Amino acid sequence: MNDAATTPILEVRHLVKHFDRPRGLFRRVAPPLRAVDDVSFDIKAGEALGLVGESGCGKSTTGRAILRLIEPTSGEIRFQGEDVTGLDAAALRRLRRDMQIVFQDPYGSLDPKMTVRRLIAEPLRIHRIGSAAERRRRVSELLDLVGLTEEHGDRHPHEFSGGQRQRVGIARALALEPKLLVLDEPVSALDISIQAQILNLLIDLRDRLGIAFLFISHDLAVVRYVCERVVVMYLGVIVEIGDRAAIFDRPAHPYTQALLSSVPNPDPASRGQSRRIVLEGDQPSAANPPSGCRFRTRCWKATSRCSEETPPLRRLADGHLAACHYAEV
Amino acid sequence: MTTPAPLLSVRDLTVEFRRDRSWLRALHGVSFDVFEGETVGVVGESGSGKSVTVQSLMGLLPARSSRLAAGSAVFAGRDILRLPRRELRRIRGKDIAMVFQDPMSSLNPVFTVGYQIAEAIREHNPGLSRETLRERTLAVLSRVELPHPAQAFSTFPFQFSGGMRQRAMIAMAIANAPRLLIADEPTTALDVTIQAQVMQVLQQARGTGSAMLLITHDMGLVAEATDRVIVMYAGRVIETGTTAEVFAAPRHPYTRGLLASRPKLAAAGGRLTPIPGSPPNIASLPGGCAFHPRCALHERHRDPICVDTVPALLPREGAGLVACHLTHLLGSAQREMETT
Repeated sequence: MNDAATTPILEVRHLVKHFDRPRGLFRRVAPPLRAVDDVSFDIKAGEALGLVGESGCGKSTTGRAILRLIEPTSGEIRFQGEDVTGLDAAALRRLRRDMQIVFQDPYGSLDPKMTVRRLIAEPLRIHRIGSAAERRRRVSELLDLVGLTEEHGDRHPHEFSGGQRQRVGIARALALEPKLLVLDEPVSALDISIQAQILNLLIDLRDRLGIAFLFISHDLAVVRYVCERVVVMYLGVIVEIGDRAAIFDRPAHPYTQALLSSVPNPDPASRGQSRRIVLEGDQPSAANPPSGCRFRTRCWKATSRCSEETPPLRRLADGHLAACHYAEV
Repeated sequence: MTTPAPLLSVRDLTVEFRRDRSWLRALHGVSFDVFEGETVGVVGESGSGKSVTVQSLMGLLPARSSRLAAGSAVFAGRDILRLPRRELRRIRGKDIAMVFQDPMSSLNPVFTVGYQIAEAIREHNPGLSRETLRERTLAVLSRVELPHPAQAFSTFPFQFSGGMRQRAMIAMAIANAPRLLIADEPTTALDVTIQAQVMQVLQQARGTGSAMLLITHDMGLVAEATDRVIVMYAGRVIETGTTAEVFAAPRHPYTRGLLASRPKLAAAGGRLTPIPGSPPNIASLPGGCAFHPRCALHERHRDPICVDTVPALLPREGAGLVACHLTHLLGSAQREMETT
């Protein structure tokens, strides 16, 4: 590993995002929704980091706050050493050349009136990169890179299938040669046979271009396939961080264990052989999270200590951290 | 050994939708059986016809823009596709019940959960006293493990979380102990930990007496919850069999492709082998076998029969059926692929 691979390209420190909620009917002040509550992690250059958790855990909010598509309430986000939380509009535009996002829904993020060629060229035009001829060449390159043909370039997004539209979304995000790509559930809306195409494309692109990924997903099998390191979130906080093997083979936090055991096993031959942890109850509200450990209301290991003391993210092994009083490896 | 008569026997189900001035065929002669007490999975991607199949069985297709071109669906001796509305209503909710992806599509937002379940019971058991109705409703609510049945009774659907709502809908579906439960993507909208809860409830609460038709795109769920599986593509059944056999040795290239497309959680296996292209639009289906433009086997052998002739569903090794002209070549092709 060279130096670049060990220096973080992105450092997130104590990121907090609270959403104010409308007042209640009788002017009670509703407590803010603590969507992301003190989250810290790094992404190394060229690394694929997975951010997993269930709906409402704060994973998408974290991704958007990093790009400043929403303003963080507090905390620090350093991209290549520079704090981006205080940047003005012009500086932010420069930053977005290096940090791009791909959304789940390729339909919603593409202007239906534009041809695919124009859609892909748009970021280049906005950032005034290259002459018209150079931009045309670059668009052709990008089409080829994501597995589309020149002929595809002259069509409109509505003529495309979901998988092809996601390819257009990816080509657009890559137009400015970003160093970090935030992928927010990039394959969740696609048919299974198409998911595999897009996943392989993403893996190839990362190998060829050396881009870092923040890969946000609720699909653990997909995260295992794409990411070498994983952050697990629950109700606005990180409960576990580790490399692929640590998280999937030696999960230490009870929530990670339950999450993994909940995934249906696609091999009927081994049906009933592994013990499934079925969690009790629902995720509590992020407006009024449980005291101490936020997972304790659904945890089979919880003791009185868990309601009194918030467990810190504790190092269990090299690069493997979990926020549980009783986690061990 | 004699085979018992199937509980539901679907034959040659053919359904068309109106688009502009013409009729587009969404189902091309779908046939399958469901036997007493078993769980059958129906899998397929968008446009495969799995949802249209369910909607036609339940009489839920839009009357003006769709039509039944051919086929029958015999349930307990009667063709439910041709029953008068009133008789269909008598069967629906009693002998056949449904669980949908979105619980709000079958729960009425302005009535309490208890009232709706009690109504569902009363509709098929007129003359029950108020007390008996309430007792039965509470019993059903506790069977789906809603934490406080008495409290849940007087709760409105919107006051529940997604998982709780799904339980309330399951309670309503099993209230009259149906002989067939049709579950259309019952856990797709739920988080994975809640999905595990709901599937457990669905399996336990319906008991051993009733059969279930589980429509899903999730191969993991099929592997875990079903005895037999029906794979659909472009409006046709292309493979059936016991779940164990189909997963261990799929005989249709599409089934094999689907299984190879999903990353595995258990092991960090090799690279995924995607199926090229996308599922076809029903307005412009490829000729012959609708899968041939995406098929690795066809790509390799270029047999004109795949382009010219729709393959018939024929017995495969084991207990199932497969619709592929080249299925006999599939084993060797796989070995070739692995050695190259």
